[in-house]
Amino acid sequence: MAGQHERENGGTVSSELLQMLSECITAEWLDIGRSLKISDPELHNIKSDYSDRRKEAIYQMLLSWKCKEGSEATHEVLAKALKAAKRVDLAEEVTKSKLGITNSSSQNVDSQVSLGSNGKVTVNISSADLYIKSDQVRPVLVQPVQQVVTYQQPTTKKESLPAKSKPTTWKGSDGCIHQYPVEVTSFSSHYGQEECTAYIASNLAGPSTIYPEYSDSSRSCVFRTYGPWWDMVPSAISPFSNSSCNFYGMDFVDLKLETPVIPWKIRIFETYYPQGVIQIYGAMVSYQKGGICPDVRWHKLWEDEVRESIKETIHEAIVFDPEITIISESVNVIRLIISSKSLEYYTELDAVEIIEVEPDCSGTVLACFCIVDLDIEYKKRLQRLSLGRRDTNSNEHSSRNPPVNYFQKLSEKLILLILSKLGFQDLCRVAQTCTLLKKHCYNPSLFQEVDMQPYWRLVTSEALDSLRITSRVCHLQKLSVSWCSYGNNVKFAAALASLIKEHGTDLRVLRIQGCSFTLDETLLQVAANCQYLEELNLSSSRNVNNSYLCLSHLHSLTRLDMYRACPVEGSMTEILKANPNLQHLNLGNTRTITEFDRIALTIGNHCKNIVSLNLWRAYSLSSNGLNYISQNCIRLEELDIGWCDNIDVQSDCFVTLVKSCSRLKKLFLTAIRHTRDKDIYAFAEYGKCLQFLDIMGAFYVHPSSISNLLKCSRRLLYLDVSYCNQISRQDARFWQTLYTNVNIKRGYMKKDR
Amino acid sequence: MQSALVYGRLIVRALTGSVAYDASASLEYREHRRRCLRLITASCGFSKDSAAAAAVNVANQVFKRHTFGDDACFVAKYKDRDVLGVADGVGGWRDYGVDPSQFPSQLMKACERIVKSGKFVSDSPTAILSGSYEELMQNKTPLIGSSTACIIVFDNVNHILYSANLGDSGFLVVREGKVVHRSEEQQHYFNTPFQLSIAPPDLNSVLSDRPESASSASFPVREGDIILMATDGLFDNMPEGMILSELAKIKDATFGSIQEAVNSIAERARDLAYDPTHMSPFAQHARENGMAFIGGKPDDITVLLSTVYSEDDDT
Repeated sequence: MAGQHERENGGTVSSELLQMLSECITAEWLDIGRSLKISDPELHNIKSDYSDRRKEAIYQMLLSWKCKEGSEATHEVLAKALKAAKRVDLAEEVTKSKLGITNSSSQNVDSQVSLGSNGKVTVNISSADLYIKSDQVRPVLVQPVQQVVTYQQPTTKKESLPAKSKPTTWKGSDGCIHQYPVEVTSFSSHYGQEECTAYIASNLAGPSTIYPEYSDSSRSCVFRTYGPWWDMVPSAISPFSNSSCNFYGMDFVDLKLETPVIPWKIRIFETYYPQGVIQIYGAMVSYQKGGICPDVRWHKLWEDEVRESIKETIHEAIVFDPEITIISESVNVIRLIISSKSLEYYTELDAVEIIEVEPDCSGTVLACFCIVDLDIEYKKRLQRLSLGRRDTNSNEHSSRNPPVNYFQKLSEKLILLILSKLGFQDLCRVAQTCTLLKKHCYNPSLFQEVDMQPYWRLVTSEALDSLRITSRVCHLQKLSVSWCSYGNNVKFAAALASLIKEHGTDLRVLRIQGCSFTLDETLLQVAANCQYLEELNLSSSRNVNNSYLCLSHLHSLTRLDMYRACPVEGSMTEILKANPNLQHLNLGNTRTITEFDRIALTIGNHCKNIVSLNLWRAYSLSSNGLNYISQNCIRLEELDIGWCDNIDVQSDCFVTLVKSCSRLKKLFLTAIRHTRDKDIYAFAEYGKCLQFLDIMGAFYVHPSSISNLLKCSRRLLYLDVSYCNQISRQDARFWQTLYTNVNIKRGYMKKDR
Repeated sequence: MQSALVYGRLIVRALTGSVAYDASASLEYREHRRRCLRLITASCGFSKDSAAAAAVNVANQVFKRHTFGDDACFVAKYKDRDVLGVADGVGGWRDYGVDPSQFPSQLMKACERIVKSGKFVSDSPTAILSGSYEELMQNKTPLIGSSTACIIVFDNVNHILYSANLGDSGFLVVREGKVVHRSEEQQHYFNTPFQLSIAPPDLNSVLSDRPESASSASFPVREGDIILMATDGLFDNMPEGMILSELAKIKDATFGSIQEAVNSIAERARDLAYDPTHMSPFAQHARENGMAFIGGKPDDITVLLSTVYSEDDDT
């Protein structure tokens, strides 16, 4: 236990002190170095490495002494060396500072111990219910380290931007290892199209290509949605009744690093409507054979304090450089959580640069504070508290020592009512406090709706197993494991499948978004057990081999989200035929479907109740397909056919659409270049309910038709006229002042000149 | 409509503007510390600028890297593959108020980006071309324009040159003073090469070929081979014999001498382009097609010159 050792020793010198010293020492630094037994060649190296920055050289010298000596790097030795170099003043400072440092470090340990003896702590750390350590405790421990490392930072303001041709990993002029992620491994959504290069999430890997330009660029990583609009449309999904209100993430993107690092700085190049990133996490993933991933432990590196409140829009490209928490472990995967709810347009990310402190230095810093040991301590304690064992322990406990308190006298209904106000994680924590509460907390009525998305980083295969074994979830109606697990986590997939197998009978809602594990087993279990399933969300979960077809055993689906999934036409048509009550269907970006007209025909014939239909980038959809839909699905309120550029607008299919689907609230015709004034006039005349209209990139729509639309469509809230050739910025501004209740969007793209 | 564009191109090609001098050479020197063949590449080019622009303000011309008039080129490297490309914009778009240099330059930039990201396989330069064409199409504001394109990928390890050529740009592989391999020119008819195009939605008649229709080939190269890649501005004005004799002057496989050679080739070609009495290859083709034409063909000229060089262990 290095930590104890340190305390007994009276403390090694802190980096803080070294920093202070490096500012005071002048020309005599070489003498001090020799007194500290640093060899001449080494001194020479330091001198030449930092030839123009003496302060930094001195600091590095002291640091290397500290690294080398380890626990022997005491104040006494340092003071002696300073005295020898005739800096008695500094030697005194060093001796004085010894007291202060020792105090502060022992304080940390004390508070640590008291945490353990304090009864309340159990609640604090008992997110153990999920076998994971809680955040409440960690920051206290990490704090001192963070401070020390901050002191260590050389000023990086002058640092030049990495040139385009730099490799993914390089050593910067500041002596730190810089690297760009080599790959985007998974993400929840992107604007672009799979297997293409424009506006896709993979653009985030590699060096910056756009910064410092502020522009809507096809070379950036863009997500599918932004702003509050997506919650206001018919297809918006409702949160579970007890969902955490502290969860704001809309999208995530995972970046793989070539070399594991302890991140010291993370610089995010945001080149369009910045400030979308709200959280940064890191994890060490050790890939097993066949690309299989185990459960990973995510470390929170940074979280935005402002959260959801509206930020002031910045109209320039920025390098976002948050003050991140320094952690004790290396990571090789970074997850960015993005919330663009408060943004006025699509946020675009150019690149992410991860900077690591030199391994030597970080090693020293962390050794002084011995986080690693505490980690082990916590792990042990958590294991003691963990669910499986506690189950047996607590049973014995209760038989011997029946608890007596007034709380017991409350009616069960009342207790349950109180507990029902708690979120999922809190419930697990309360369950750890006493047997009585545990009994109530395990009441299946509290686990009818389990939304684990807000706790994605804590949910492991063991957590799922423990939910299943304790039968808390035997009346499970809604389950979300969106964003949980990383990579192809086979154990997690198996745990989910058996959970559904055992407790899936009542399941009505199942959301598995953005998961990379193999879904086949889960889907088979869903088909076999969940007869009443009404909502199935598989968006961005693509690891499925041909088991979509089994979903045609389901007959009560009203909502199906297959965004970025990979079903083929055959399975999809069978699913559609089996579910005549389908109301919401998302087939955006499903590249495996090559004949969307067939899908459209099936929808027209079998799913006449459809309310919202998302066919974003369904390239094979023609005006015939669109006509099937508009003639048969008259309840349609929402239609997204953005980038379906095979539609022949001349056939008046848009006019037919608004005439027959009079309830249409949202119509996205993004990048359908042929949209004409005639269509816009028709929208104004027949689209009485129209609230959201996107005609981005329409070549031949003139201001006159838009003016008419704004005049006639009183309910309009959102209008995107970006990149419409005939519509100028002035037009858009003028309309905005005239129609203040309509949000008029107009993107900005810098012409490359 | 097609004819209008072609005509536009012809007129632009036939009109002789005053020569705006914005010659420049750019350095492409790639270090590769492995015992395998690599390319040392130098580039040079001249833009045939319109008389108007030159007369108004010569100083106003900003030199853009890897762009010579409506031509564009790129040189990139990913691991053990060297990739070069040239593209020649179709000038006819000027009549539609479209800057013809945008399309080729963005096309080449997109290619360069694909190469640098490593998302390509050596033996399919066509895929690089179609990937970058797709990217331009996918842009929220599609970039209007047309261009020919030629891309070569040199596999340093297997010593094979893979090429994709769409239109009348091209390349030669010269070994011991002889042309041992050349790209295939693709024309619909005289002076109307194959081209990639993005047109405004109502302009259905614009000539547009799929990137997949590029002629692709592969050719094993040896140390000492010279690869000359250029737009039609060179091949239309300079007979092959003259090119070969210029190449024969290369002293050694250093970047300096390659750059010297490419400068001299580009300058000779430009001089010939404005020589009204020169019986240029273009004039000969015109005659073959029944047009009495003599002299050079003023056009943008872009030349990339590479030599295949084996690096010794000790460097």
